[in-house]
Amino acid sequence: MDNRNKEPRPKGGALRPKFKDPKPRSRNKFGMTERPEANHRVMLNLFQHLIYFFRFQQPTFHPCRQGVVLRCGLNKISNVKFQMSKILPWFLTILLVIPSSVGCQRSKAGITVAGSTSVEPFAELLAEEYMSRHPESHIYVQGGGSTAGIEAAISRAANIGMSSRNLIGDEKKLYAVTIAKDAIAVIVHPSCPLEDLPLGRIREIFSGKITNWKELGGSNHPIDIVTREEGSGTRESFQKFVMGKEDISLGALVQDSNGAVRQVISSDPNAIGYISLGLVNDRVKAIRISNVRPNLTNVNNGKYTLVRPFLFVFSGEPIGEARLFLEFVLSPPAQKLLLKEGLVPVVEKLG
Amino acid sequence: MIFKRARYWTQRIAKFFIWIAALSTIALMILILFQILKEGLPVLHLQFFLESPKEMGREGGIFSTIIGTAALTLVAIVVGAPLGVGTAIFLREYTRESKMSRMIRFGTDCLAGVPSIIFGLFGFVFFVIRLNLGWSILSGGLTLAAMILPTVISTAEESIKAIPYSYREVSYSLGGTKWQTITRVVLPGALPGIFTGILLSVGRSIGETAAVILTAGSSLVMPTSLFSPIRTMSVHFYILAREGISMKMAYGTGAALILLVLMVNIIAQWSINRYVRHRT
Amino acid sequence: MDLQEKIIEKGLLLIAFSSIFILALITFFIFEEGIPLILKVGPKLFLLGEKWIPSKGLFGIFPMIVSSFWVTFGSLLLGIPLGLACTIFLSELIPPSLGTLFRPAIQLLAAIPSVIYGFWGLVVLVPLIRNHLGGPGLSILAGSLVLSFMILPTIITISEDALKALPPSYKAGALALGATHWQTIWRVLIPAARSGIVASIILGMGRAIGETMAMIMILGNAVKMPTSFLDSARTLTTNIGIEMGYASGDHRQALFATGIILFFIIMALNTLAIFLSRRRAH
Repeated sequence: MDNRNKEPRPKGGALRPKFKDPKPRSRNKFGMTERPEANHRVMLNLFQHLIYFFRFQQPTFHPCRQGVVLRCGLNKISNVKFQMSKILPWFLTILLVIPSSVGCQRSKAGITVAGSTSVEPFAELLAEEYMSRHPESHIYVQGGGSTAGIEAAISRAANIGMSSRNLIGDEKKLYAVTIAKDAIAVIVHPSCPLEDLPLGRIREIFSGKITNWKELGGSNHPIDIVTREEGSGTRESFQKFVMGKEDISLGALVQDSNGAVRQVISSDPNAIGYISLGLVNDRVKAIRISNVRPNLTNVNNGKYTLVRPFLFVFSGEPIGEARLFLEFVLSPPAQKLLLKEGLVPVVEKLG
Repeated sequence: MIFKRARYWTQRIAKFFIWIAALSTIALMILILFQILKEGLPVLHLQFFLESPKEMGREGGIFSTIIGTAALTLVAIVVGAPLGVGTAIFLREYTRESKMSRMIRFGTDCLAGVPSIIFGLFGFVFFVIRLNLGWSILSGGLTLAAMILPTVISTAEESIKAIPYSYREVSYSLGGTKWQTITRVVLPGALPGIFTGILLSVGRSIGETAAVILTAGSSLVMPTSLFSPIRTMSVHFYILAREGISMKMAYGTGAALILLVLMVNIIAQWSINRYVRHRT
Repeated sequence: MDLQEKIIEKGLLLIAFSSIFILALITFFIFEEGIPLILKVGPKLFLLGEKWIPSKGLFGIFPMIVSSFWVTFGSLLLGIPLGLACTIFLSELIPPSLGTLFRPAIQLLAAIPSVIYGFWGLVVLVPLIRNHLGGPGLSILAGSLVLSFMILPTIITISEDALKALPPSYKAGALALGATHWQTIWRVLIPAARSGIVASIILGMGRAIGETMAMIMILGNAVKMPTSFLDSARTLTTNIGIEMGYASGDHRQALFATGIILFFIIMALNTLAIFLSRRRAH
């Protein structure tokens, strides 16, 4: 390194080519030259050593310059016919090279957004939209549940954690931003005659006290309760808003995403369950709770109370790509997208 | 007299029932495949294979999942095949039946029996968390490599066993060392069998879902490096089917999956029949 | 040269131990995560407790063990007779021309991913059960039926191998003594291949217990102890599969502990099968 720094700077700018005689290049302990760009030749030299090793021959280095040695070596290899002993060392060296070469790419992998499966489909839509506007960025959306997402944000396994419930206890020290509000709707099969239920009745159904539809005025069929799995933000919100102190019945069918719950209910006329309001489509029916219809108007004016926030959670102040994505998500076009999908936007004026 | 009559009728009735049972069972299983293919084949046009999924899979194709499946399988083979073939070489060439070889075989058999969810748990805690590889092609591929190891070992062993000892004798008599014999005589001859084993394990890893979900994630975005999370075809099919996002797409992905697995296994079967001598 | 040969031999020795090494790694990590929780909750409470409510710290997996047993038992109830019938059919009764078609077909059916069978179960079987037999449709019955389809190829191929491995003198001798074809099959060949057939059943059982994805799709995953075949249930595998993504801390360790139990059961089954099939080889 010292040699280089002591060289006089060329006049007329660094771009003027210097034609000089090649100086004897000093090598350090490992045979590496001091000019980094010449080291690849040494690496190839090493490979030749390896190949000759596997061929049980002594390496013969041509007394000409390294570039010619490379050509000589390659000629030697290409002359020989296809044989196992030739393949094996290359195979093994490729095995060694690939992991090391992609190791450096890890930092450019893009940002990961992980957490609640309720937020996930909307985050994916937002990511798709964001990536179409900024083609060079990569956003990976992952499920896992609100709890897992918050943990991922804490441990920095993910850049952004998604949560469909409020932060509790220790989690409150994280930086959380509400990107939308979502209501939980209680849904039944479209053929079900039920239109309206008070909250108390819903509680009794889900805790298992009411087990048959005929107790609610329907036909004589047992009620199939469908719930989310433990650890789900949707379930915890439902527990908080509807169940209170009581537990959801142990005999309830469990599905691990809102989509799966909707799927079960859309095919079972005796089923009842709860999903995100944004996911309700025409294959299920959302019932009114104490005569309040679950729709965006009622959420906005506060009449429908089963509302929970969708949060983006960061381990600290968001920086870089994560910050840009957050700003996009809070911008009017993104919020309009969320509104179209059935969420309640947090930005007032959508233009 | 009576006994003869009874035996005759017993046989007729028994055979009748066996025919019905066997034919209906096999017919039912083939029917399952046909139903998915019937609904799914109309969805498979060239665009389907070349477009990536849009809107969480409601539209578009399955391109990124095909890439994901290919990448995962490639990593699994690159890591698993050398290990498996090396083990087979060692078992066949360098040792005889000793406690060590019995132990290795027992370990391989046990590994073959471990359910995929356990592999998923292991891959999750070891590759994703401890080695900090995250949900990535690398984690998924390494876990799959562990899963295909037993298959590769047993097929490689079978095909190496099939090379007559006289080949090796000739090589030794000509002055070859053990390693030279292996690489220049035994392995080239056993190569078709080994490739068959690799193909069989490819077939298995294509259909693998549980372990992959836990280690490679489920991102629909095209992967940019070995460290990107990726969704494979079977995971995509599973998610589409459960969430009811789009039945049409689910059937399409299912049909593509079935066709791919059938293709790989048909080639492997043909290869087995031709190249690997079957020993009971 | 000698040194290089020795290096290669040692290198291959290391590679050969990779399968044992991986097995040891798996065992170590699963145990490392799971054992602390089993000790914390108490083995008796863990294995025999009937309530699985992670949010309250209740980790009893007895309903899961019972459900795994029921689903597997149900699949064997259907799988053994059908499997045996198909084996007999394939090895004795089939016209050879059909045989060249059927045997590869069975192998191919074995390679179909389990999610495909699960999907079919979800779309066809579950509504059928719900409409005609009652219950939510997502039930142990559906799981058993689909599982039996999955283990059939295993049972068929291994049993057929066992039958083919019998000395031909068995069949020749029985026929020479005047037995009918069916009597030969039923009273001579099958009992002679008994250990191979039992090994195939045990391997099928191992596969059945280890099946996850298809079971998540069609079992319904209720945590309660099942009381009938039409009840929804949760096996050891689906318990792990459905909650793994969301679990943290104690909950996650409990899932690893479930994995330990599963691991033990399957290891025991597989060791039994290996022992039986090795004994047959001698």
